[in-house]
Amino acid sequence: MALKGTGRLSRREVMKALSLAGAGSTSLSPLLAGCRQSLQSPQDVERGLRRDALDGKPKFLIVIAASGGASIVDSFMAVRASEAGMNAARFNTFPDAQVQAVSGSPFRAVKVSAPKLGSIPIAVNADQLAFVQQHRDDMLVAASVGTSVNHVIAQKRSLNGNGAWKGRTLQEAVALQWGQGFPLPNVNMAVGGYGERGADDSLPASVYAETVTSPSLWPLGLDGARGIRGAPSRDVIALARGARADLDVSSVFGTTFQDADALKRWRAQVSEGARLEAQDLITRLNVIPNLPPKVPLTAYGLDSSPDGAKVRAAFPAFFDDPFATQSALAFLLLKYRVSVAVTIGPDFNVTLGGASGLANPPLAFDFSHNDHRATQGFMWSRILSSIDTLITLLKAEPFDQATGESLWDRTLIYVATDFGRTRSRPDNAAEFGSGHDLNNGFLMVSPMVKGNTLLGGVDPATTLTYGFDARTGAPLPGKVSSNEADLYSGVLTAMGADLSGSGLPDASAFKRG
Amino acid sequence: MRPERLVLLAATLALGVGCPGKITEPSQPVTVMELPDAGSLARSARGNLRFKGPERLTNDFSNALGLNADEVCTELGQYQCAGLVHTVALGGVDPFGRGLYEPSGVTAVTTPLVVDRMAFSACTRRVDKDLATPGAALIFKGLPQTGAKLANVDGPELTTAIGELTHRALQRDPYTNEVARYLQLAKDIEASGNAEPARAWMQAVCFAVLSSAESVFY
Repeated sequence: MALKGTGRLSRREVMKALSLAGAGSTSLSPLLAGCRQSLQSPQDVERGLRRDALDGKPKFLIVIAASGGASIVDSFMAVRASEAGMNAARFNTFPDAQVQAVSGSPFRAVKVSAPKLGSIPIAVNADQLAFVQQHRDDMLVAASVGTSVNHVIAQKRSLNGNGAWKGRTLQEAVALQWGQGFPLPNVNMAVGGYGERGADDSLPASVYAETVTSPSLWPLGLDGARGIRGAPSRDVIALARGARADLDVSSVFGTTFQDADALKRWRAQVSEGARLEAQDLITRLNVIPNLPPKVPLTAYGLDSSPDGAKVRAAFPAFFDDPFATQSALAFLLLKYRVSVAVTIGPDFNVTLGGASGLANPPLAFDFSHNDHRATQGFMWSRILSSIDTLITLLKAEPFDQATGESLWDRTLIYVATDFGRTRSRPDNAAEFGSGHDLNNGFLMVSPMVKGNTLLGGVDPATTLTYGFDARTGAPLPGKVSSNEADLYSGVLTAMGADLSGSGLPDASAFKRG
Repeated sequence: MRPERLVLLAATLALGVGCPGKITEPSQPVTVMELPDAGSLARSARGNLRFKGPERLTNDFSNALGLNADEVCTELGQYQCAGLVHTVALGGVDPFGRGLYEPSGVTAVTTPLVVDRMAFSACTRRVDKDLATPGAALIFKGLPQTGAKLANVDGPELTTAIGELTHRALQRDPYTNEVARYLQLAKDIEASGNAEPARAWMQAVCFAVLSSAESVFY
């Protein structure tokens, strides 16, 4: 290969060099990427089953479902009245002093004080500043426009990017990528559309979510007999199960229905159940303590998790507030390598408890219909408090002694929400109701996201957010078209998922480094 | 070839057998059917099996064992397994709590374990009752014991109990291979050195029948 007189390669030589490079990369790639990948079938690649080529170690996704519509302009993209000009009075802007700047950060932090929460006579005092100051380097906020203002549909689309990847949810994609071999790769405790299964039926059964409705008592179902008073000993149980297994196969019923999908699935699940029992998850995941007479664990031969005291101290409302119990269980599911995707979130029911006497208002964020500002302040505090505590727990949990990684280093928290809220209000009203709006933004917190980053922006004259280029991160003022697929891709891209065959947009702007 | 049927015992016709549950009709004669050759059985082309779900399971276990529905299974002695704690794991819904309005339609990884809990809970209760009042026993009646052991692990009384259990849980007679396997189970338990092999066998055979695939699918 010779250079032209100009010092450049000829066109023919350029083509030859490129073809050699291509051939070389083709033959070397299996070696570079590891033998395992070279052995994967085209079907696996098509399904996105290819593993992380670099370390093969799991990564974890916690989805916090902010039910009812968590408004981004009531948090990290809030607008000051002085910025909105003549529209300040009629749109959802704040007195300047309530929108706090965070030094060296594009984020803002809202401080809200209200004497009551709608018609509920409790004072609301919420301040997001400490959270943003503490976690800004792991925070990414992306402006968004959705495609539905129906709660259940919008909730589902916040998790599947409106069918961005064959309808599979983010949690299913993560479970497929990193959850193979985990006992329950995908556990979902959230409500409505957040709890629904994705639409991609081609995935292995194990990646679809295990639904948990009672996080405090659910672990009892992880063993077939412990805690049943008077149940026979383990050896007798094993003998009984052996007899059952023999007859299930040889019976007239078993022979007649041996091709039935339900029966095949059942037999596989029976085997999986034995694996769950062997890991003593009935104990390890048990958040609640022995508290007779309501919780007589000891009397039934049961015990609390070895980490029970720690998670109960971290989430002291565990006994009254299901969201607190969910958060505690989410940590345990990750710590004990039970799951790689866990979904939690407050529900639409009233929960009494906490310092004010009210832990959760009716309809969660959707109580904004009654009193927007106080509800958003109250609920954002609730969400951020849970995130802050989870991060503290995960940071303290070693993941890999060799690399010094903590569990937090490999975890992404995605705050999914239904939609935004309408911006209009009676002139200068501090207490007003809001409706559903497609325009909003999403929060992600993780060492894996490009931290301290705001993708897109907000037009102060309308308080509506505008979009961005998902590859470069460049803001695109005036862009208000739907970007659900960008956000979906952004979560998976930040986590380093293999998106081969997905057709997802390039969302490099979300990823750190 | 028609299956050979062996009538082993006549029915116990007494009406007042102490059954507190919903089924109060007298026991039927126990017949043991010979298992047809597997090759002679047609496989279901559609294989459209459905898991019974929390309500049907509770009702069927309750009827089979003559227990009230709220006696079938509770967690920590007070929280209903099927109606509260494990409803969704059993394929049920939770409209008021988690806004889950439609059942998933498929069993979950934890479903078999929850079924096991329900079966062990219900069977333990039934066995306790039958042993506490042998004269009013519903299923495990007239089983001669030597101390805590079954007096005769091959005795016809065991076959009667197996038949009674199969009648009540599966609405059919037992097959020869089932009887043989459950009698073998009695021997295995006795050989395991269990301190109460008679009680353990009753619990085990009850569990195996109630939690069998035939019992939990329809």
